[in-house]
Amino acid sequence: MLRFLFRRLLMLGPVLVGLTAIMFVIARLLPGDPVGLAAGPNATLAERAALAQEFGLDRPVWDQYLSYVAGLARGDLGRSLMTRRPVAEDIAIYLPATLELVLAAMALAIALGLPLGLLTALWQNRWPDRLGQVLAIGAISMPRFFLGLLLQLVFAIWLMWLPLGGQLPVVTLPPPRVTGLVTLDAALAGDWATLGAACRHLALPALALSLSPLAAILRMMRASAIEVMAQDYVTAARALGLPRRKILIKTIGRNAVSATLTVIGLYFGWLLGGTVLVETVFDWPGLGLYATRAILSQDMMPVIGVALVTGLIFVAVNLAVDLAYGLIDPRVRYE
Amino acid sequence: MPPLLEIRDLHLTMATRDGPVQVLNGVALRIARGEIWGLVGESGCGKTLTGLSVARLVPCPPAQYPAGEVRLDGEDLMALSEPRMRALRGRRIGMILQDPATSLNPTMRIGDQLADVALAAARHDPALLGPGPARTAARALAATMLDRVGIASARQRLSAWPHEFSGGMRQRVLIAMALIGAPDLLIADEPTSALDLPVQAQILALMQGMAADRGLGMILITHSMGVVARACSHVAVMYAGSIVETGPVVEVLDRPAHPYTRALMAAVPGRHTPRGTLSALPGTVPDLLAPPPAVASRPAAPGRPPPAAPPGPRCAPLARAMPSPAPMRTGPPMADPPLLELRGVSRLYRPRRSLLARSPEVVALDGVNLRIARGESLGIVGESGAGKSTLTRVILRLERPDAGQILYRGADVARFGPGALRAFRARVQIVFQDPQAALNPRMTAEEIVTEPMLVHRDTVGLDRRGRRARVAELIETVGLRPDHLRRFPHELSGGQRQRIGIARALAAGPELLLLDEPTSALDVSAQAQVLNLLIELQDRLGVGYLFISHDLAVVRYLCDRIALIRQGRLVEEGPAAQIFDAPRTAFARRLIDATPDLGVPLRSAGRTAGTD
Repeated sequence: MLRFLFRRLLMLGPVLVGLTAIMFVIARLLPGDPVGLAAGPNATLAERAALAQEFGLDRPVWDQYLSYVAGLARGDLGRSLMTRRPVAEDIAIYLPATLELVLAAMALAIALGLPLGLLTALWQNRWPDRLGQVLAIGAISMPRFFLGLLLQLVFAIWLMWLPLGGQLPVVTLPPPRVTGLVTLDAALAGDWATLGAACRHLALPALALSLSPLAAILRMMRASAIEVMAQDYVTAARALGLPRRKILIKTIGRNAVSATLTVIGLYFGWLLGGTVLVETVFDWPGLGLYATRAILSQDMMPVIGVALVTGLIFVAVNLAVDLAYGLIDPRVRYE
Repeated sequence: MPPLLEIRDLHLTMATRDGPVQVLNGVALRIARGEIWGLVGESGCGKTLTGLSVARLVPCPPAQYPAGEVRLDGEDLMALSEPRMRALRGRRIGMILQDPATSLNPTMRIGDQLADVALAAARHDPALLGPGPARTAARALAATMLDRVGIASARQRLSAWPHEFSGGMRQRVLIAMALIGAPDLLIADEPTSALDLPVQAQILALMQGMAADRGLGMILITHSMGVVARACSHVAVMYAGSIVETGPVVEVLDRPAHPYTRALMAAVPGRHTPRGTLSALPGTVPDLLAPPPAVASRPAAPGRPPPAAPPGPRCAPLARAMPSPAPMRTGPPMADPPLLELRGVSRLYRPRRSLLARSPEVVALDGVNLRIARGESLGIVGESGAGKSTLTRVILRLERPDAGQILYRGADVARFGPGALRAFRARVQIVFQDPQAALNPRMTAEEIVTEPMLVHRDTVGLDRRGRRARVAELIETVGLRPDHLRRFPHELSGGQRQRIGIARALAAGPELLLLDEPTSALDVSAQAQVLNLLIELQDRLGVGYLFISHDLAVVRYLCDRIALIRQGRLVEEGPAAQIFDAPRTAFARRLIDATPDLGVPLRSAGRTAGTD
C-alpha cells in the first residue's frame, strides 16, 4: 500500500518535467508578440526591451526552460506579464474559487447520481427509469454555458430565488481567509449569514457544472447495478432472508459503485479544466477566467502554471480513486 | 401431522418473447424431517426452478404459477405475502446456491455476511441470538457456525474476505450461512458440482451430518447420480418439468422403474464402464414451447414404483438408445516416435514482490515428463490448482516453460520460428472447459468454425468454397445439423456449443487436441454425448487427445493412459486399467475413492443393462 503510493508519486516527476517541456515548446512556437501586448501600443522600443529583459524573454528558449525548472523546484512558477505578479500568488487567489465550484459540483453529482442510479436500476424499464434515462441524455448533451443561462433565467430572473452571479454579494465582506474556499472559511469563522449567502451564490454555477457528471454517474451506476443484480450473491442474499435495504446498499450498492469511481475520477479532471464557460456566465472569479485571460494576452507563464496545478490535482484525485477501489473491493488492494 | 414440505401439482409458466413456456408441469413431492432428497435430471428439466419456487425466489413476472401448492408444515407458501415470505427465508428455509465462487458478496467480510443473516433471522426469532447486544451475539453465532462446518480457527476467519478462501471453504461458509438461522428445510442447488472430487465427498458428508444432527429435511439438487447414491435417502427424478419417479435411493437406483431413470443412470461413466459404451440420451430436452403430449407420468407415492410412462421421445426403452460398442482398441504401438513429448517441463509464477513480505514462487509445473503417441489419448487428472491448465498453455507456447523441453515430432517447440509456430498451432488445437465463454457471442456457429481455416490459411489451403464444404462436413462430423450453422452460441444448448467448440478445434486438421475439462460444464447426458463423439472421432480421424479432467471416471472411460498430477508434479502414470486396479500411490487411491460410482453396494439393474 505504502509502496504503491510511493511508486505513484515517483511517477509524478517525469510527468511534470514532460508537461512543462511540452508547454514551453508550444508556448514558444506559437507566433505572437506577448511583450508588445503587455507593454501596450504606446511603448517605446527601449521600454519593450526592458520589459523583455525583466521577464527573461530575451534569452534563448532552453535557457528560459532551465531557469523555469530550477524555479519550479523552489515553488516558483514564474511571473505573469499581464498581472506583473508571481504566477504562484495569482493561482493561490483564483484556485480556491474553482476548487470550491468543482468540489460542490462533484459532491452534488455523486450524492444524487449514486442513489438515483441504484434506484433506476431497481425500477429497470419502468417509467421512473425511462424518465431518468431521457433526462440523463439531455443533461449530458446540453452545453454547460447554455444550461447556466437557462438556470439564471429561471432561478435568478423569473423566480428571483438565487443571485445571478459572483461569489458573494458586493456589500458582504469575505470571511477571514483560511482555506480560500469561501463557504468553508465562513463556516470556520462562525459567520452563518455569510455562509448562507455564499451557498446561495454557489448553488447555480455548481448545479450547471454538475448535471453532466451527474448524468454520467447515474448511467454508470445504473448499468453496473443491473449487472450486479444478476450475480449469484444477490440471489443468495435474498434466499437467506436479508432485509431489502441491506441487500440494496451492502450487496448491490457496494459492488456496483467501484465501476462508477473511474467515471468520478475522470470527470473531476474534466471539470477542473472546463470551468471557464460556467465561470464566465456566473462571473465566478476562478482559475478558468484567469487562464483564459492569460491565453488571450499570450502570457504563457500563467498558462503553464495553471496546466501544472490542474494536472497535479487531477493526478491526486485519481490516486485517491485508485485507493478508494481498494477500500471498496478488497480484491484489488494494492501491495 | 403434515409433512415438513409438501409440493402439490405445482405448475409454473414463464412468459418469453415466443409466448408462455410451461416450465414446471405438476411437480409433486413430500419431504419429512430428516430425509435427504436428491432431485436429479438433465439441465433444463426444472430442478433449480423447483428449488427456487419453494423459497418463492422466481421473479413474477415473467414467471406465473397457474396452479399448485407448496406447504411448509401445512402452511401454503404460495398464499403468503412477500414480507411474510421474506421472514421465512433464511430462518425456516435455508438455501445453498450452485457456485460457491460467486455466491458470497466479494466486498464484505465473511463474518459480517454471516452475522447479517443471523440478525435478519433474529428479527423474526429473537431466541436465536439470546440475550445481550445483537451484533455481538450474531458474530459469536457466526464463529460457532464456522467452527461447526469445519473451518479451523473460526474466530479469526470472521474477518477474512471471500477471495481469501478456497472453493471448498467458501462452500462451507455458504452451508454455515444457510444453517445459521436454524432452518427446518435446506435446499441445496448443486452444492458440490463446482468442487474437486475429494472436497465434494467432504462437503456431502458435512451436509449429511448437519441434516442428521438437526433433523432437517433437505433437497439436494444435482445432475449427478453419483452424488445421489452417496448422500441421499430418497430420490426424485425430474424430466421436462415433472417428477417421473420417486422413492428411497436404494430402491430407485437398484430397480429404476422409469426408462428415463435408467437412461440417466446409463449415461454416467462408472469406474468400469468400457470405452465407447456410454449411453447418451437421444435427442435433446424437449422444446418447452411445444411440449410433447403427456411425457411424464404422475408421480406415485414414495416407495411405490410409478406407473409406466407413455414413451416420450427420450423415454424410449433403453435398448434403442445404446450405441453399438466400439471394437476393442489396443493401445497404439509405442514404438512410434511420440507426437508430443514433454521433458522435465517446469513453470514458476513469481508473485509481484512486496516490500514487507517476500512471498515464495508458485510452482505450477515441476519437472513434468509426458509422451503422447499419434492417435493416443492421454488423460491428465488433478485437483484444481494442480497445474493442468498451465500445462496446456505451455504446450501451445502461450507461455514459456522455465525449464525443460517440449518436443513436437522430435522438434523443440521453443525454437520454432513464426512460420513453424503457426503450422504447429494448426496441428495442435484446444477445446476449452466452458463452451459458453470460449465462443464469441457475436459470431454465428459457421463463422466460429471457419475462423481457424482463415487463420491457418497457408496450412489448410482451402478457398472460400472449399471452406464452406469443410464446415458442412465438420458440422455433420460433430453430430449437428446444417441449420445449426446459422445460430449464435446463445441459441444452442450446452452440449451443442461444446460440439461447435470441437468442430472449431478440428477445422484446421489437427493431430492433437488439448481438451481442457471439455465436459465439466455439461450435464450427464450432454457429457455422455460429447465423450462418445470424442471416441468416435478418434477412431475415425486418428487424432491424439490430451484430456484434462478432475473426474477420474470420465478419463478412465476415454483414455488409454492416465497421468495424475498434483501441485505441478507427475504423481503416477500408466495404462488406465492399471491405475484403477492397482494404484501405486495414496493420492491415486484417494482420487479413486472419491469418484462417485453407482457401483458396488447398489449394483443395479440399470447399470447391468447398460453394460451388457
